[in-house]
Amino acid sequence: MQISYQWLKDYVDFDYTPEELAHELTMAGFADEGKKYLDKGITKVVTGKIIGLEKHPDADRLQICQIDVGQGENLQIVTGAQNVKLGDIIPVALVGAELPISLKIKRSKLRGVESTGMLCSGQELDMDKKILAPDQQDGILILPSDIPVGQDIIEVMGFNDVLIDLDVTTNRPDCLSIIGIAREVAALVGKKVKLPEAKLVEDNTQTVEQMAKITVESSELCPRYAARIVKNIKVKTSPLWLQRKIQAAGMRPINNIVDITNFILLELGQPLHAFDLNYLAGQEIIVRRAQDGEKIVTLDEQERILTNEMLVIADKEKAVAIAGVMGGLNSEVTPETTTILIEAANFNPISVRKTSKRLGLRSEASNRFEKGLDPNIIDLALDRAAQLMAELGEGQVLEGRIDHYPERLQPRNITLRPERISRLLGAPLQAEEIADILTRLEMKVEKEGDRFIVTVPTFRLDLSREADLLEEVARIYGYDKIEAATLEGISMQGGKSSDHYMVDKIKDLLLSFGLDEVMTYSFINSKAFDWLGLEENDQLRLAIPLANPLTEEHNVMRTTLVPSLLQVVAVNMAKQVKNVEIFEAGAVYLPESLPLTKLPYEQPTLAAVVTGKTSKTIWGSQEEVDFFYLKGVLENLFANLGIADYAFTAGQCAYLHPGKTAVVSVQGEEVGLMGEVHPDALENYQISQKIYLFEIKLDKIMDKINLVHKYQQLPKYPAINRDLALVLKEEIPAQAVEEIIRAAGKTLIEEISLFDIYQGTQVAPGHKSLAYSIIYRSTEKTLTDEEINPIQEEIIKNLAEKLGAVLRVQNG
Amino acid sequence: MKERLQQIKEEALAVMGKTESLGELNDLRVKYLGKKGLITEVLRGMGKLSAEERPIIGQLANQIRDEIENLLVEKTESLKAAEKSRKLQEERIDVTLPGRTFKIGKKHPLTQVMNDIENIFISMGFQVVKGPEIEQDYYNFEGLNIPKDHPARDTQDSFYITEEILLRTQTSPVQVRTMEKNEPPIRVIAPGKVYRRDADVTHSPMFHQVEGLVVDENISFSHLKGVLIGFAQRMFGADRKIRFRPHYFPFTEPSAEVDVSCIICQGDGCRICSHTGWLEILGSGLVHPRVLEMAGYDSEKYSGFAFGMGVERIAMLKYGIDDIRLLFENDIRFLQQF
Repeated sequence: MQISYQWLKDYVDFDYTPEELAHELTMAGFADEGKKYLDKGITKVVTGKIIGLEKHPDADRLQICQIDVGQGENLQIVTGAQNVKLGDIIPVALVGAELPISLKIKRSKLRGVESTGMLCSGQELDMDKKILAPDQQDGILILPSDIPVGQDIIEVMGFNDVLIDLDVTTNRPDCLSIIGIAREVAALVGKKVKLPEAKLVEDNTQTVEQMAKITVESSELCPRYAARIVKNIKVKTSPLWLQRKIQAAGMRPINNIVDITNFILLELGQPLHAFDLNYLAGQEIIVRRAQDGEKIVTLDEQERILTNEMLVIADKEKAVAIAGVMGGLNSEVTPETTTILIEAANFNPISVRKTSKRLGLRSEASNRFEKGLDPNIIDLALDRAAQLMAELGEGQVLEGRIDHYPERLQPRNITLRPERISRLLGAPLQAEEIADILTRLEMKVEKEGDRFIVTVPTFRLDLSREADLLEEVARIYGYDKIEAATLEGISMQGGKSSDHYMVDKIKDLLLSFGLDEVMTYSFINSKAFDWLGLEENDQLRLAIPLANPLTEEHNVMRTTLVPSLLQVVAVNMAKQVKNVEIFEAGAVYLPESLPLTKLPYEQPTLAAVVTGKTSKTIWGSQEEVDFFYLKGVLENLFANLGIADYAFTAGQCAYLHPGKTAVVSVQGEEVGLMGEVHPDALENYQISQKIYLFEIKLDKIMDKINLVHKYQQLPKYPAINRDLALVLKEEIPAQAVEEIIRAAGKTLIEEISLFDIYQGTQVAPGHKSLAYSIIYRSTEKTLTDEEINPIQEEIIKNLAEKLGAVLRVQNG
Repeated sequence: MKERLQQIKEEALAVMGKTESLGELNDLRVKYLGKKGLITEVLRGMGKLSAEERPIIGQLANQIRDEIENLLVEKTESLKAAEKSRKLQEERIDVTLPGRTFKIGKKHPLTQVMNDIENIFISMGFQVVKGPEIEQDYYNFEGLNIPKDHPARDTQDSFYITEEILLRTQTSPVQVRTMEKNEPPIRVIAPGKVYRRDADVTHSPMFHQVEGLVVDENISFSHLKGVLIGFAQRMFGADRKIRFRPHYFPFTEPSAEVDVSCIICQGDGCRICSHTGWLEILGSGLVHPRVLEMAGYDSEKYSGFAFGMGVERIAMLKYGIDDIRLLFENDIRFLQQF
């Protein structure tokens, strides 16, 4: 809500400067979101009258104006504006004038013709385009013809003002008005607010009932509907003071009738609507629910299709307005209108909100109605509007008003315990202080023992229980005055759950291996499942769709982290970042069934992707990452988490290379997958280099993590090291070899490590050579060759029998 | 013989003075002092001398031998030193060549900020708890005193899955879940992902919040101030000014927005703080008695306060990031900066 500092002064006396006012209101709950100083940068601009206008002899688009600026001598000014005519009153920037657009006016010659000043447009005076009439948005600002010449434009336009943009929270629709803010200021300074008065002169030759009939069929959606009629009206441009009030709030003046309804809206917060009575069939108003499919063209010239949930204002034949949202084009006030029916009504907030949301149509009126308005303000609002219309439109107000208001809203009583207020605030507030604050907010406070019975005015619909009054007391007293205190009571142990701690630990380990942590959206494109090449019945396709996604790119909740990480690689590739080593730990969302009837399982998941060269470099000789690089990452991770019994077995997965896919299991339970990304998937993501990834279900490894470390005695006896080079069929997995070695060596084998793998001319086709280093050690004594030799022989024998492996004989 | 010895001495000293290698020096040792060396040879011929001459010559021979020996040792040491220094000279490297690189992965900036927040609250005795991201309407709204058709729902445009299930728009539902499961005293924070239908340079459809909740007997607004001032000063610096101003949240009453003096302009007013000198960093308030009652607590016996903050906003302020989308694009060059 944009508030004019000067306008506010009409309703409450205060000494604050605009800056102090903004600060005080901020600290009372209406945050200052920016101030606009209307006179900023404007000097030496006065009103002038065009008393001579002729075409420039040498320029088609220029005109030469003779201007009376009340200085005796007329000014000659050349202008390019096309919207001025003889007799117009316009702002004139004199020689030496400054304008907010950082322009200084100098005497000049335009195509040989002397020009001593400049005619100003609204925008040159820093008026927002949206508050200017359409014909003045790109032309000179034409002022009403009764403005005298030679006046300082700052005085004329009321530019010695500051507009303060205040954030009014949704619980305070009463403050979407000058009077509401004035009440707040009054409470802060301890003064009384000055309500405007309606000085209505009624024409008692005719009553309102004689001219119109009103029926409210849906009282539940319309607690109050009141109307007055003003006849013999002249629809014309509003006087400048009215235009400026409308503009101060950021609205555009239209004509005197519409401007008056907007003025009352801004002043009192009550939306009004003006109908041309002659366009109401049967001169009748019926407040009813719309028929399903009923149509109306609203003032913004859009056709709206209504439903039975929505409330309309109708005449005998048709809907003429959508209640509380927007009027219809068919009964709009036009320059020819002579008889006006002013509607001042109160509508059910929920109904207005639903209707406005459903139609995607918001207005100043709906924005207020949907938050709940005081129906009792209607008395003043309606009379004041009628009075102003009669005055400014030279018409007469018919006697009486039609008022459908079956149940007058009564002020509410709330019981308040002053002692509890000061206890909950932690501030030593006396009962009298509390009573004083509430009284300043126009509440009535009556003592009843140690309690207060507080009567809340009807314009404060947001206050319904003690806690609400607590806030009122606190914000007027001042949050800043409440002392800070530390928490007392039993001391509590802070910390994280062990799962949370484990995830932190896992992240730290992966970071130490050189992988960067990424964070991606939880929603993905459902097409990703096609890009991964998943089968139609793949479980991963059971993804939860969003009912209202922002874009189709993010239309389902992910069931795997893989598409998100491939996307990150693709984005980096597109920017020529070719070396990517990343991981993400986050949830995937697994529904039991679709459509969703209960909350899905949010499975904590870890995925990593590596591509390009490794992060470890020796000048210019980086290694390409491969399957075993990433496998090493995972093995190291497991080792550092104390996960011992894990296995990688060849497997299959739609989006992984069929020959480079491993199923990862821990203690016999499958926990995830790793492998090289299938070339088809890479192509779909437009990635042209090999990618390796793993994805692990974190919930499945949590209970297998063992971070309890126990000291083991360091070896006392020396080790014996034996190398073993074997030739065997290439399809035999290395794991089988290791298992045989370990089985024969029993407890004496401390470590088996593969130090070479070879395939090529030195071995037979279809074969490979594996070279192992085996370390034997006993915890009890120094081992001898005599003890190790039989074991080595048994290993070789077993490898030959079970795997057909033979010792590799070095050539030469 | 005397002359012979003097001659040997002079010759030896002269030759050794010119010697440049340890090998030559060794040869000279053999030549002069060895078993078949020149001095030995002279001594062997002593038998021919008279008894008076013998001790004199013997003494002289020994003296000359010692002199040669000393010089040999001295010369050897100096040659060794020269050689060592030559070797060190040869091993010299270009110390300006770059070091071998090894990359440490970087924690996502949002994780870093979230960890900072968590650690501050853990040290104040808060437990870190979690709740589901796909949430019931009840927990996200109704249990927080935001019934259907409440205007506050407008400010949090939600992603719906069904009428009753949505992506949580705030971490506040964890408040309700925590109270349903536990009895006071409660002192928790709940970090996590939240979702709203909004996307521009300062809004992301997915972002992170940290929620906090304290419930006990006799909790007051001054406790809220104490805890949040403590947090803000540790997070943003002990010299920050902090202010609490009234606001509206349906689930707290009274409600307060917490501002810190702008970390960019120190409160003078700049573009980042919209020329107010203040940065809004979190929302807070005393838990609305209705929220306590809906969770089954006696609102006369217990009171509490709650707060919530946006992690992205804090990260963007802290690191000077001007486009929220950078946080989710995951450009490696961006991630490596933190």
